[in-house]
Amino acid sequence: MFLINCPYCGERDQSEFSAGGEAHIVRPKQPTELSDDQWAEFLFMRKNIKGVQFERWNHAHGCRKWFNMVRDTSNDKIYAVYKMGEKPPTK
Amino acid sequence: MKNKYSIFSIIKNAFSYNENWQRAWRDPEPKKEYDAIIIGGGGHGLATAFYLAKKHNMTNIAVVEKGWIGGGNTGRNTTIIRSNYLWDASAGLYDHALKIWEGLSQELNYNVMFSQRGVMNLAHNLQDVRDLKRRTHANRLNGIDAVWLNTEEVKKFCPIINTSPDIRYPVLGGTLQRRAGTARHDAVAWGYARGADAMGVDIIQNCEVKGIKRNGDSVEGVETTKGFIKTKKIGVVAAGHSSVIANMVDLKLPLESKPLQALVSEPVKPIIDTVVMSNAVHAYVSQSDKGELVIGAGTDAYVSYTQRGSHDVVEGTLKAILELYPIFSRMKMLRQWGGIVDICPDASPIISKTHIKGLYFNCGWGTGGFKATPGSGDLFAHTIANDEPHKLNADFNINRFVSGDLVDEHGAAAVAH
Amino acid sequence: MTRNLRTANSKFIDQTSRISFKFDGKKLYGFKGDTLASALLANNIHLVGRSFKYHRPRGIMACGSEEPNAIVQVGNDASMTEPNTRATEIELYEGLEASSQNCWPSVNFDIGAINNFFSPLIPAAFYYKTFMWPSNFWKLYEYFIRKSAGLGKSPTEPDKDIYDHRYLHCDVLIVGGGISGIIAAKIAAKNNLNTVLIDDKNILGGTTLFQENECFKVNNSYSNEWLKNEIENLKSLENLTIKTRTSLAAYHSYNYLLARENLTDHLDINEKKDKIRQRLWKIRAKKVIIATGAMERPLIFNNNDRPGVILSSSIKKYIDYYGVKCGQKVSLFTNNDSAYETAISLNNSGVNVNSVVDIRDKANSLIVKQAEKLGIKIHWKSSVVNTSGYKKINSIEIMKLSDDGTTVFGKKIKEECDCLGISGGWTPRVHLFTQSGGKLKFRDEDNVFLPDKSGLDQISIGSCNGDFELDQIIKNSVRLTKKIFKN
Repeated sequence: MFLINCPYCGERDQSEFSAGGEAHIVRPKQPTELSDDQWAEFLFMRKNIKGVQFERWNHAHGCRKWFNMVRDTSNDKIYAVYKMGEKPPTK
Repeated sequence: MKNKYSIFSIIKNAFSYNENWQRAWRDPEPKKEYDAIIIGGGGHGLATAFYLAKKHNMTNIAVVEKGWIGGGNTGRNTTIIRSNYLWDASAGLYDHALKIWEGLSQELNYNVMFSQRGVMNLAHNLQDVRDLKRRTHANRLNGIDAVWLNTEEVKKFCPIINTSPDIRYPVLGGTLQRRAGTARHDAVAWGYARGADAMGVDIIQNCEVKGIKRNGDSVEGVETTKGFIKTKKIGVVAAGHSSVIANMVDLKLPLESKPLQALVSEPVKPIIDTVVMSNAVHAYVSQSDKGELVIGAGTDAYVSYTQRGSHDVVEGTLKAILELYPIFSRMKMLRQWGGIVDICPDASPIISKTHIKGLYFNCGWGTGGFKATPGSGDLFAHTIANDEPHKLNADFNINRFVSGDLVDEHGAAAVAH
Repeated sequence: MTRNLRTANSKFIDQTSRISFKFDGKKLYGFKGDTLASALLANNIHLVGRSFKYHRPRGIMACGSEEPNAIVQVGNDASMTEPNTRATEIELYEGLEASSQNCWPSVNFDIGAINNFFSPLIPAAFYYKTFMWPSNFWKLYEYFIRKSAGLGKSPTEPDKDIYDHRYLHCDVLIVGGGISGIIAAKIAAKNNLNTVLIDDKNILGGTTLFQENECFKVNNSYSNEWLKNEIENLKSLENLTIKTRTSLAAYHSYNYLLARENLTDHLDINEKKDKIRQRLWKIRAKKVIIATGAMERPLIFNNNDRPGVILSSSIKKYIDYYGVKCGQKVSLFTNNDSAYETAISLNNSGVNVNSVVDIRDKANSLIVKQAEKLGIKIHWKSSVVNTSGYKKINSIEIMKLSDDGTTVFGKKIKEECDCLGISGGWTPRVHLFTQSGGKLKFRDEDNVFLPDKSGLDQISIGSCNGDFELDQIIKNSVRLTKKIFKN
């Protein structure tokens, strides 16, 4: 059970949060102009990395705000959290 | 040929103090080249190898496994087998598997303890009732046995369920597939391994795939911890690690690998003689041959390769179990564990060719792949041998995520999805 | 109660308050402070169950959570019965009813024991190799397989007890209230850290609590006296919370742990009513110190599973802590020094020690010399090769070991006994550490797995970290505990 440092509320138990999957997938501005392949890529295809991954979380039972997290999926270690719109940390 | 297992072989070996049993499978070093390599020595991978050898005469093949055979999700699942899925494509796929299950012990000469004790799905609200009735009708149209039970019939079929109308999730009825049931999960891996090995398949354990070598648009072999092995056909059956293998050839799959937990109690004398599942409260329970209550929990919502999940998921499941079966309150849980399940957006699997020639994927079984093991192996073997899918797995190709022909089985895929 | 199996001098048993209980329907007596296991042994009852498959007789083998044999059903009420409970972990209370499991019609005469006779026909994994013909008969075969499997019986009515759960946040959680845990608790609490110390027993102190021997001294007093003083001093520490009867049940990531506190299981049957039975503690600790100790290993020889074959350190606990003699004529079999502590304790309590069978050539430690001085017979370079006695051991066979230790030779010496203590050395209890995701390393000198790498803020101290000598335990516990507070 993780201890997550919500950028708005501080350290809280994981059971207060919900996971929102891979982060930084940009929603296409003109979906109608995409090919089926591009649309499938946006909608379904995921890196599903074993290792350091950027992902979205929501403090569902707290401030209800979305934020980003850098986490190693091979050992669940959280390296950083940062607000939506902020630049992801490089290391 | 291997010595046949029977009551006579047991008596014969009893006289020599069971010291002369033949090894169930060899432990070979990899050859330089194979006609095909299966990555992943779980139930599906071993079944694929078995049917490649048996039905397609491809015996110069190897199964490479990074740990030990059956040590992944095959040895971690709750062993439920059923085929009551909603759509025609799924019904065809899962019932194909169920039909093989019915004769599998004899086919393998290895008792996989397939026990058709029935699987009951409970409905706790009106939407559940509508969904389950719809699924019952769909099943019957596809020739799959399914019946709707009202609350009294549920109670009669499994008397230890609390069917009081005053509980938080009252039981409004349920569906029952009598042909469904459980099997001994390890025996499935061991039985297929023994069968495949007898036909010449090399099962190579402690051999992790580190890379896939390509020449233009086709595969040339695999880089492993035991060296490079040449081959023209690679079947990937790596479950939770499918994306890891796909990333080696820059292929993206529509998968997310998440922790799925299960737990068993200490062994007790028979108390529940069927399998009961409840999607609404996220709990299912059966009893193993050894006497343990086998309980499945839901998935955690995040990607993780750690083979462990969060406590709140297990706690939620046990709360539901205790509401449905208040008599289990004093039972002690013996073990709890997690597996890594690869989940597709439509809760259906992928058994498919890829755009790379000679590279095939069998993945995305999510939380319910065990039940399909024989069928999955059979159809994947067909796909690899003929470079063309069988008609039963044609709908489960990777391109459905581009074309939009999804096979949405979230309702039937059960609790965890 | 068989009077001559109790010594008069146990400090931990209140021999003035007698408790009555039932085992397999028979009314028996024990004392306040007993476990079900110690009370049964005091009544000369060793046979308490049957094995899972061959229904071989099973006796009490240990004295704590490591007990593999004495697994019993507690209570016979349809809603309050509890299967698969270790007799060594049940504190005796007035009105306790327990019964043996997996036997019919009784533990003394068990029809299932016929399986032992047919054991060559039902080797490991026989069920994968047969029951396949005719194919539709599996349902029938399975019915009988299932009926013979399983140990205890599930309750059949809803539980009437009340349960509770609570959250706990602390700076330091110390798991295990033995000597190392107590040392760590003192250091942590004095460092102004909010500290919690938990132990599954009813009192703190671990095995040092009854280690009364001049070979084991701290600051010139006996280790047990010294530790008693240290425990007394803990009470004045404000930052320290002590929870006894609390077992750690799970160690999740980010130092999230679960513990179960037993609140009423030790109370008399009429005192239990309307009270919370157990509480689940959900603990988030900044640092975790694991001090879970070590388990004694058994030794391997023919028929080493008979009732009356008991871990040597457990025999010592039964005599020194509970004042219970596991036998009147005890033999010991060992590969290390610990069995000599048991021999001395037994000797001091007036129990006849036949001999100590030691696989080593010779040992010169203080404790061995002490045993020799007491006149205890030692078979050096020898091994127990077999035992006899179906429901209770009645003799052992001893043979000389060859120089390389791989074969035995010479004449078999038969030694009559009613109890055999075995000691195969010590295994650190690293289970919690591995459950937390930690990786182990192997120490070749004494063949033990030890905690190595962990991604969490935790340490292991004491014998669960591979320290088995008293001075080593104290020195390293202090050093490691101080170190973890520096980062």
